[in-house]
This record gives sequence, structure tokens and C-alpha cells, in this order.
Amino acid sequence: MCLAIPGKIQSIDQKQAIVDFNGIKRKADLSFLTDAKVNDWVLVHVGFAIQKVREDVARETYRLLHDSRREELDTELKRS
Amino acid sequence: MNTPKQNCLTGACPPIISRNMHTIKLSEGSGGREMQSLISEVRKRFPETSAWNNLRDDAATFPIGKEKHIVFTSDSYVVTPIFFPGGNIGKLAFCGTVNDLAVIGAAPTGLSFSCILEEGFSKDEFFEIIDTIASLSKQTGIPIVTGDTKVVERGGVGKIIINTSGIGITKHILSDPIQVGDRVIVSGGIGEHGTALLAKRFELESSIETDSKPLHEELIATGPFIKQAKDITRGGIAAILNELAEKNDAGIAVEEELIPLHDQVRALTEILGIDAYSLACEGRFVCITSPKNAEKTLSILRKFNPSASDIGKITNEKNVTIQTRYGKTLLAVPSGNIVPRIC
Amino acid sequence: MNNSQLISDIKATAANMGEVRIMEVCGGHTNTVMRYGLRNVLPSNIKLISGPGCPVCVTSQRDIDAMIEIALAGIKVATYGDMIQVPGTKMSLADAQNLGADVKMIYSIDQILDETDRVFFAVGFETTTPMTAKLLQNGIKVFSAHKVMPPAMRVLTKEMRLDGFIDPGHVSTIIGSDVWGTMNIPLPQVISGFKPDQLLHSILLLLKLIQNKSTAIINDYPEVVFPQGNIVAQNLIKNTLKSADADWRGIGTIPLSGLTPIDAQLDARIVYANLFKNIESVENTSCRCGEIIRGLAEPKDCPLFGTVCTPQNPQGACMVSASEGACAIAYKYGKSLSEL
Repeated sequence: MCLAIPGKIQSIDQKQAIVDFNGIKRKADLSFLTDAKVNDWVLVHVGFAIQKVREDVARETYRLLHDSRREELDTELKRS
Repeated sequence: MNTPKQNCLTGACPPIISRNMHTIKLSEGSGGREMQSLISEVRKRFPETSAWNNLRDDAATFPIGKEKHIVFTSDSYVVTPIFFPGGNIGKLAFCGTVNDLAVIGAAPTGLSFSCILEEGFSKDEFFEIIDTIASLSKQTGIPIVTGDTKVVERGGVGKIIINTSGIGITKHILSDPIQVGDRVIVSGGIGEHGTALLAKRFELESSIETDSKPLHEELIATGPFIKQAKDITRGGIAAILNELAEKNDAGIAVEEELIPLHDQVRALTEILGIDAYSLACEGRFVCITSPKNAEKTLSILRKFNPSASDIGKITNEKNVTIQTRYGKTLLAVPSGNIVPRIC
Repeated sequence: MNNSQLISDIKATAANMGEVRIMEVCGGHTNTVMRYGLRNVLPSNIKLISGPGCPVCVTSQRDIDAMIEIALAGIKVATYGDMIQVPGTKMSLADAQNLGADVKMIYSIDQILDETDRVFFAVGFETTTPMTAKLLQNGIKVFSAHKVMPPAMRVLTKEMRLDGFIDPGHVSTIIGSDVWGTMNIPLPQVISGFKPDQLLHSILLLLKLIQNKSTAIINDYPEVVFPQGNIVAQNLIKNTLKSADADWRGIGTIPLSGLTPIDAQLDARIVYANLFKNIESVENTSCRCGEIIRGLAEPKDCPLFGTVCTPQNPQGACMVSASEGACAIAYKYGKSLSEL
């Protein structure tokens, strides 16, 4: 139901796109997103693109993951 | 249990699938809790011997005189696919056994190589596997000294199964007692072998190759500075940290942000919804050092792999925990087959 | 907004409130909460309840038993990875596979689009339903255990005291944000994403709605949730599937909460009815999963927890999914959910 991640369309061949997820690529079916274009960021669930993503936000999602430890991590957080 | 062939005189009866449930399950081979259970069950039934030690570890040791020990280990390799990005089953078989000796502190002196081959298996593929092993043997100077080959009918095994056993000699078994506050160090990025296999299986294109490699050089170099070591295999770092904790009756606390994880490994775990900490490695190990030796150990390991990292410490809790950016949670032993989620 | 700011804002807002009971209804949200230890950072008066959002966990035992009968009869089947190990009355599809049945585990239906002789065991909420619709379009038979969440949310709202919902983000990608206002769920809701920061932010917004006694619905995942959702996907679903009553493991039958193929010839429940019409699906009556899944009881309150019922031998839905089932999580981590 929920497991979908954003990736960037590298190429399109009819209804199939090759999508790049931060280095890993997989084909994704564009049947549900017929106006998707190369370089669009799309949300992919079990091999299908289900919605477009605003590019700045998709990058944000990855940034949240890749940040090294931030200094403002509360001691309160560490204690929990 | 009756098979269709036994029951059916004409040979034309529909397949009747037996419902006998007291059978071996695939999950008993995936490196998690079920596999540990099966291994325990088997061990219990073999008579114990006092002449050999470390019978629960990756290898067993046998004292020779007062100063040395023979170290002996054995492992079987059934991976599919047999060829994968960066290697093949031969590489795993050679390195896996060398590493099981190395983590006990032994310099490997020789390996055996046995295989069971399926009728019809391509000889080109078979000899490519043999050549891989030969090349590793030459590169490391560790000879293959004995072995066996057998062939079974088509369908008897999936192409090839390999068993390698190994002997090494050591003066010092890496089995020193650990203390609260000791550091836990990992030798490089985790989950790369698992990623290479899963990417191939679920049709994901990735540049990640297996991390399988012999580790005896790293372990010989860090040997004087570390207390214990364990190589990470099936079940990933989660399995190994729990094994170490249980073996030492101690706790381990790691910090998520310190665990080295390649971007593509992270991406794969998100796409498939699996846990990176349960993903198999083949050429990585975890070691425990005293705080004063941690820096030295890291600097040695970083010469081999710049991602080597000090990820946490030994605690007096009886569990393995991981500190995420938000809160602390338990890093539990993986259970069952590791499968992709939809949700 | 950085983490510590978010958490102090949550604490500040909660400080002026009594006990607040909010529920998330998506396995992905349950997973985020567990994975990042989010309950540790919420103040103690905020009860974040994990509802029946794991589609695998709520698939009825009888449906699993039926699929196993189909598989053991020699018919090729396929399903998603997390469904393979869910136990029915006697065994799981993985056990059936061990016994020789052809059970294909897939990540995507694109791995079986040509296999018209294979029956697909379809599980999931609205995010996954469009893919099943595509299989039906290709003439592949489907045994549908698909469900939709809003009817279950209405049932839960009547049964227990809840103050608000975190709505599922990727379901909303398909159905859109506007439609939530037509679901007759008389509580404030926030549609949320799945990163821990996103979920915490949505919880903050929900607390503010509750504090203001509002029944508004906020879309806090506008990156991918648009007002109309994905019309192409919605249309394909409408053309291939229709509403039906559905059995939720641990809850019971909820009217019109399921989807079934419109074309009877592609409905495996009809086509293969003879193979499973006489099976008896027996649930363990001591199992308290039904209450646990609604947040009315904790795993430790169940007499079977950890003794008879373990991840290796699950008796009910809650012990089934290692990543989302409440009991599986509690067992794995050795604590009750509220402690984690």
C-alpha cells in the first residue's frame, strides 16, 4: 500500500521508463502517468509510476536520508 | 508419504502434493533465527568432545603443544544465481572459508574443495568457477590441497554446490573477554553482496558488486589490537551483532548514522522495503576493540577500505540497540526469509 | 523545520491537552514509527495507535486457505513477497511451495503480465489496486483480497474513542486529497508522507486541529498528493473491479470494504470455487488480534503471545508481518508497543 519511492526518469520507450533511484535503475510502467517526460521525478510503487513528484521535494527526501549527524540533535533526543 | 509415481499405475494421475509438514524449510537456511535453531538442534545430537574448543564459533580449535592451535572450519555454498555482479560461487566458497579461519586469528594454511555437479551443467561455467578459485589461491598463496567432485542426475542439484573446508594455525585465538565500553568496528560498507544478488533477481540495474574478498590480511594486521572478530554473512550485520552480544552475554549499542552504507544499497532497501541491516555481506567483518585500540584498528582497516567505521560500543544491557536520528530502537535478529514488502 | 524544533513544538502543543488518541492506518506509517522509535519522542499523553493498515495482516485466513488449495491443486499462483509467509489454518503459501506448489513471489506484476495460466493473489489497498486492474485488463485471473480503508475507519470511529487520523499518503496519491472529505469520517485528519520528519510534522498538525476542535482534513503530503489523485488509475480500477463485502482478519466482515473483479471469468474465487468450498478455516479463539489491531489491547494482554503464538508459529494476523504486525514487532523487540 505504501511503499513507493521517488526516482528520476532517464529514458522512455513507449509506456516503459527507466527510472534512476539514486544510482539504482529499474524499469517502471508509465500506464498510469501517460504525460510523464524524461527528467521528470516520479513516485514508483511495485514497478509502476503512480504520480509525479515536485523535483525539489524529491531531492529533499533524499537529503533527509543522507544528512550526516546534525549538531542540533537534542540531548533530549539522545536520552529517549 | 506416497508419491504420485508410487500410487499411479498409468503414470497419468494428476500431481498430488504431499502435505507432510515436518520438513526442512527454506527459512532454515537464510541466516536468521530459524537457521540458528536448526544448527543448535543438529549440534545437540553430536557427542561433545573436550579436545576441541570454540565449537559454537565459525571454526573449531585444537591445541598443539602449549603455544599453537590448529583451526578447522567447513562451509557449503548454495547461492543462486551462481554468477552475480563481481563474482561467482567459487569466489564465495574460497573467501568464506578463508575468512572463517581469519576471524579466529588463524593464518590459513590450506583448503579442501569439494563439489556436487548437476548433469548437464555447462563445463565453460564450471571451469570459470574453478579458475576463479585458482586465481584467488594464487593471489593469496593459500593452496587447495584436497577435494572431491561428484555428479548427480539432472535436477539433483541446481548446477553446482560447493563445500570448502580449511585448516589454519594460530598462536593466539581471537577470543579475549570484552568489557563495557569496548568499541565495535565494521570493516566497510554493509549489504553490498545482498544488494548485488537482489538487484539481479528483481531486475534492478545497479553498479554494486559483491563485497566478497579474503579478509585474512586485514585480520592479521589488526590481530594484535582486537579482542574478537566475526565475519558478516547471511542475516547481515543485525545477525552478527546479536550473535556477538549473545556469545559474550553483553549488549551492543550502535549509531545508525555511523554505519557505512552505499547510496545504492540504501536505494535498493527503500525500493524493495527490506532492512539494510539484514542484507548479506561476504567480505566484511565486525571486530571488538578496547577504546584505546580503536583508532589504531580503524587506521589499519581504512587502508584496505576507507569506509571502515567505529559504529558503537559494548553495553551492559542484554540487547542490541540502534540509535536513529529520532529515538533508540532494537536491532533484532532477522527472522524468516528476507522478502520485499508492498507496504 | 528541523527535528528538534518539530519535537519541541509537539511537546508544547501537547502540554495543554489531556489524553489524545490518534490512529494511523497504514502499514508504512506503522513501519516508520517502529523503525525510528518515534513513540519515544512523543509526549506520554499522546497515544499513537497503529490501526489495521497492514493489508497482508488483515487478509482473512479463509482467503489464504483458499489460495493454498488452488496452489496445491497444481495451479500456478503468484503474489507479493510479504504475503508468502502468512499462515492460513494449516500452512502458508511458502509451506505450499515447499510441498511442490508453483508459487511465484514477485516484486512487480510486470514479472507475470504474460502468464495467463497463473492466478494472482491480489492484496493491498488503493495504492496497489491499479496494478491488479492492469492484470485483469491482460486477461489474468485474480483472487482479490483488495480492501479499501475508509469503511474500516468508520467502523473504528464508532467502536472506540479516537480524536483524529493520520491518513495514508500513497493511497491518497491514487484517490486524491479531495475525496477524503466525502468519506463520512467525522474526525480531523492529516494526509502524511512516510519519512519520520514528515510523519512528525503531520502529527503536529493533527494535534493543532484536535486542539482547535476542528474536523478539517489537511494534505501534508502535497509533493505527490494532488486534489484529484490519479484519474487514469482510478478509471482502470472502476472498469475492472467492483465493490464487495470483505473479511478483515481480526475484525470480521466490513460491508463494501473490498474489491472483486467485474468479469466473473477472471474472478478466481468463482472459477476455482469448487477447490475450496468445503474447507474449514479455524481461527484460534484465544487470539486477541482483533482488539490489538484496533488498539484496544496490547500484545502482552493476549494469552497466546510469545507462548503458542510466535513469529515462527503465528496464530493471528498481528504476529504475521515482521515489519507491521503489532505482535510480531513486540515479540521481535521484546517490549510492548507503548514502550518502544
